[in-house]
Amino acid sequence: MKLLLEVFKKNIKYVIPLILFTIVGIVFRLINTSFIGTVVNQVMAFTSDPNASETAGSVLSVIGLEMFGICAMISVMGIMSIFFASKLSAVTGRDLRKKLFTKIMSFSMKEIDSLSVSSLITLCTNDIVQIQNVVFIICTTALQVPFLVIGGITSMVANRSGLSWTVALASGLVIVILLVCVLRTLKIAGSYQGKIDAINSVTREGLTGTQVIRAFNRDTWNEERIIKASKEFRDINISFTRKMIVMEPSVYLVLNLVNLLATWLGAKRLEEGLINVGVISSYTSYLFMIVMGVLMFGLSAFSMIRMIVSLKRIRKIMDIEPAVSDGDLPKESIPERQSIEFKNVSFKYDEEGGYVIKNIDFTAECGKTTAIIGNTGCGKSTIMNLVSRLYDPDEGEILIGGIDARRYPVNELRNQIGYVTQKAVLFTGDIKSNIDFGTDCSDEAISEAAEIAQIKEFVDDNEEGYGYAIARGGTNVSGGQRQRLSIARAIAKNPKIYLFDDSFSALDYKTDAKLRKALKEKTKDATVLIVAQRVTSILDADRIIVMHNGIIVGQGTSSELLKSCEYYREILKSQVSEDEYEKMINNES
Amino acid sequence: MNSNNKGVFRRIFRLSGKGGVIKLAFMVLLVIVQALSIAIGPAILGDALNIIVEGALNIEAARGGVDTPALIRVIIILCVLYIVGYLAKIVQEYMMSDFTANVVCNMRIRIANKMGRLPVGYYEKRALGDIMSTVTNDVDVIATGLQTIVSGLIYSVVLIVTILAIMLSLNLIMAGVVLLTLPISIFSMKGIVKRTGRAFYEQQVLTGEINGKIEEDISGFQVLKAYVREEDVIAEFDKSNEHLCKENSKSQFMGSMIDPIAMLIGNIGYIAVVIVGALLAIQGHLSVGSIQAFINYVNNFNQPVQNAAKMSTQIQMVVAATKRVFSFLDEEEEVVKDNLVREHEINGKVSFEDISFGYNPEKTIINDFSLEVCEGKQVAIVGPTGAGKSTIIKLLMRFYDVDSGRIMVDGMDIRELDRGLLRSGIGMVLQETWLFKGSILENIRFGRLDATREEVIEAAKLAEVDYFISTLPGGYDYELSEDGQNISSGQRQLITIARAILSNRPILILDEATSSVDTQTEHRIQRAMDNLMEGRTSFVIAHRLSTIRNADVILVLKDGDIVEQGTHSELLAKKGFYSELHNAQFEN
Repeated sequence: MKLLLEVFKKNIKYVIPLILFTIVGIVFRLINTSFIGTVVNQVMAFTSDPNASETAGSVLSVIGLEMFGICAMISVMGIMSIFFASKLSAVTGRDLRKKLFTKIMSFSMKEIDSLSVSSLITLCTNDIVQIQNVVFIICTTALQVPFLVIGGITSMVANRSGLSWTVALASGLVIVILLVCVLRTLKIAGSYQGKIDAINSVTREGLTGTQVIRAFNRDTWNEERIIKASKEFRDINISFTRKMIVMEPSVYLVLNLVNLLATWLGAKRLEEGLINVGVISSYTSYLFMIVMGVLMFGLSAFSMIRMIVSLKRIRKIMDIEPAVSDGDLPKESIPERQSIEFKNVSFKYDEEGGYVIKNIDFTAECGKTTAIIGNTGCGKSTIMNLVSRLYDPDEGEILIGGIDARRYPVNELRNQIGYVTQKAVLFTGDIKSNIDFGTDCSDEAISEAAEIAQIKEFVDDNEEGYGYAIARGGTNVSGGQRQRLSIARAIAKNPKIYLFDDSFSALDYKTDAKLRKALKEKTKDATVLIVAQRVTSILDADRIIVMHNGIIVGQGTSSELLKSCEYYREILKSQVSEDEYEKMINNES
Repeated sequence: MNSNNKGVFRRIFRLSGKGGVIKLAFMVLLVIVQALSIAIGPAILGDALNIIVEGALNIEAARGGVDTPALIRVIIILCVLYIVGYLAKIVQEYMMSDFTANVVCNMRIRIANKMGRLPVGYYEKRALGDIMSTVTNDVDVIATGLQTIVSGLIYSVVLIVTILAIMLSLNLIMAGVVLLTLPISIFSMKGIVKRTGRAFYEQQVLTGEINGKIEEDISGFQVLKAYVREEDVIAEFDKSNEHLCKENSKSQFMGSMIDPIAMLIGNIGYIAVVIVGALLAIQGHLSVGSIQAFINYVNNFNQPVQNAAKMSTQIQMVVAATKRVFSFLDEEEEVVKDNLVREHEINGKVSFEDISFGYNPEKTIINDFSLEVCEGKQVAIVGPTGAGKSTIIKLLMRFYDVDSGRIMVDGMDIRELDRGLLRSGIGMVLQETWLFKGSILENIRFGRLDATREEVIEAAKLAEVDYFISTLPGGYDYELSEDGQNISSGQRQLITIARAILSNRPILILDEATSSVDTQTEHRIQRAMDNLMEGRTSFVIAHRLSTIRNADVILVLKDGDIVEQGTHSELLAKKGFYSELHNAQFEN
């Protein structure tokens, strides 16, 4: 709710006119209602006066014009308040969406890991649309209710029909009906949303897994899963709507019956000479006005339940504090040479889980290539993520150019780094925008990067060249091309630190070798950290760090490791033929 | 509603299941009852007022009072009427919600069934998000729309007709006055509705756009962060967001404008009724009660007209959504021939005879490819990306059909075989792992649905993933999240390998199955795989040449042609493309 108030405060220029137009509109509506009684009495007067016909025409046309004027005003006020309500609800949606998105963008990987992608998307779109709609409903209907009810009651009391208590009776009954319905549906509202999620989730899985499902001949299995979810949703949906649909007809029934009661009582009072016919006529209008007001309020309360749920979900995101925050190191103090030093670093992804890396100590020097090798899940990628401060370590410290990485402003640090992630991610756009990627580098720099990354041939071979369109996630280029493009992206940035996380896995050996050669020249003054699977690709690294299940089991040059590190030899053995292995061992000794 | 839309609705009704038409007819009946009760109500209430007015005049003339018995009679009639209307409404709404829920549920079932029958190529051509949006969002739009449209539309029509009839019977002149407002109503509504439709469409498109943007940015979050792109991304987002905001406000405004405008038109009718009614009453042609009745009728008459107008926007949305769903349901399916062979023993002898294939006619990927694989042999396929390695596998699985030539499995052209039969002879592990939300046990059991827990564990042990699973909370019952995001990519691959091991099929396909697994684990699996592949025909695609050294035959593919073929040592001795590839790993 606080979130919403903030947004309203910011857009007060829409809120104030909205309220003003609503109030004026209601005043006109009340005037209009009281007119009915006047007209009926007038007609009564004319009917009982045989000489009235002459004057009646002019009197009535004056009344008609007055009424038309009032009605026109009601509609104009209505249009104006709808205009401002539309504006307000749209800007509310916009501001909330922006707040949320900006917040998400401020997160570190740690927060993103703990939230699912699809739930964040739902929040940014569905939930906000929900809020937007409810804001509109409130602005156009619920906002009128208090004025309408107060106005209605005042006029009714002024009307002196002596029937006001029936309105109170009707309102009371309507409130009870609303409460019962809301409470009954509230109970299953939560699981309702859950069943929708379930359907969407199995459907999505059915679509993403097409090939595997086919390959295993599991189409029936897939179908049954969706059918089960659909049926469960149908059942809860039916019981949900059944509970809800009783509300409106019941309210109308109460309304009509109370109106009958009032007509009866009115007739009695008329007989006693306490009121005239006009009062009875107006009464019906007031009754409907007030009770409909209550009903509208109830309906808005209904939608407000869902809005509050959505607001709470958003609030939860807004309250998360990013785990990685800016340090205070002034820009001038950032050292020119950016070596990387891990000092006794330990890290775990979530509190309950175990350490992914433990007591890591190593130095990657400037102008040198440092390689990391090790088994699946040993924490190689984690080290890369820590260097770029996508996470901060739980224990120990990482020194970049001799200064604790946490002292750097996050973005200044990342600007020094060209990170090629394990999964090559491209974005909608073209080849140029994916290589340049916000660095605003020259065409020459892009072309150089493409050349080094061995993607230039592909660029030159197609007609659009660098303008070749890239689809979302780069699905329209092959895995190897994706990898080379993301390498080109890192090179174009001309960073002081290069991080390659298993970035050559989709390349065939030939391309791989060519790429490395070209890269070597380019990166000779930078600090290079490479994660690799194939030992052969890092044999000439200045330093190789061998990891096993989160700890370092050996480091040094390849020849040093061949002598000292059993695990290194094992890895090597698993990758090359026996002859080659023997050859290498013999070379060393 | 044009004929096209009619067709759409007819198809929707067909989805309502058995007895749908009868139920629908009964519902229509109930709607009519309910509409009639609403329509007649004011006329009778007018009678009540007439009695009171008469009474008032009587009192004035000191001739007595209100005719109480008559008034009581009218009130009782009204009570009954209201209650009947109420019950009809409730029963009708109950039935309607069942009807809608069933239609939508059946629609989803049809979609699920269709998903299994579309060719794989369909999914490769259309964006996943797009299909997703059809089978989820569009169905939701239909679900919410249908509930109100069907009853609402009938209700409005019945109400309009009945009220018109009653008004005509009460007083011709007055009815004429009310009717005069109708053309104004229709004319102005039409204009607004048309514009609203456009605005809504714009809004949907923009929502989709911004949806895509958010999805892409969050999916590529790591890279965005690493390249400090947050500000650019937010600026871009702002632009779309601002645009969406404008369209939102426009469509909201347009959509709601109907209310005040309809109210104005209604009020004009109302004033006309009051004035003309008063004049008639003065001349003694009309009673005061009838004026009151007409006042009510003007409101009741305009409401259904307004509702119908509002509903036409909703109808447009439902029709559009339904069309998208039906066009999915109408997509061309995998060709199923009649006299397919449904029983055929698959032992694993596979031969490709002069096959050619291209995803589109202009570009052939595979040229005259021929290969004979005996039972139990291991075939490795290597070559640069884009050479057509995976395509050959897809052809064997019959995800696509060859353009010319034929693929034989144990002496039978695979096009003559039932697809299910063919596929149940093949186990497959792909580079892109696919896991679903559920326990690890269920995910492995996907390979063979009737496998016992012990068999699953056995398969996991062979795939070298048992130890890892046992470290997870809950072990085999550990719940994987959507896409299995809560375990590492190497571990995901191992689980899919366990799945293939469990499936125990005569033919095995491994397409870059271990690319994210470290070489030592790979080595250990290799042993398991070797055991597994013993006696089975297997096709292995790999970049890491170390994994295929023991293959019976290695095919080197380049631009869809086999350029070399032989065992590892033969190919090395040849000093051709393969040995180039192989030696490249030692160059530095």
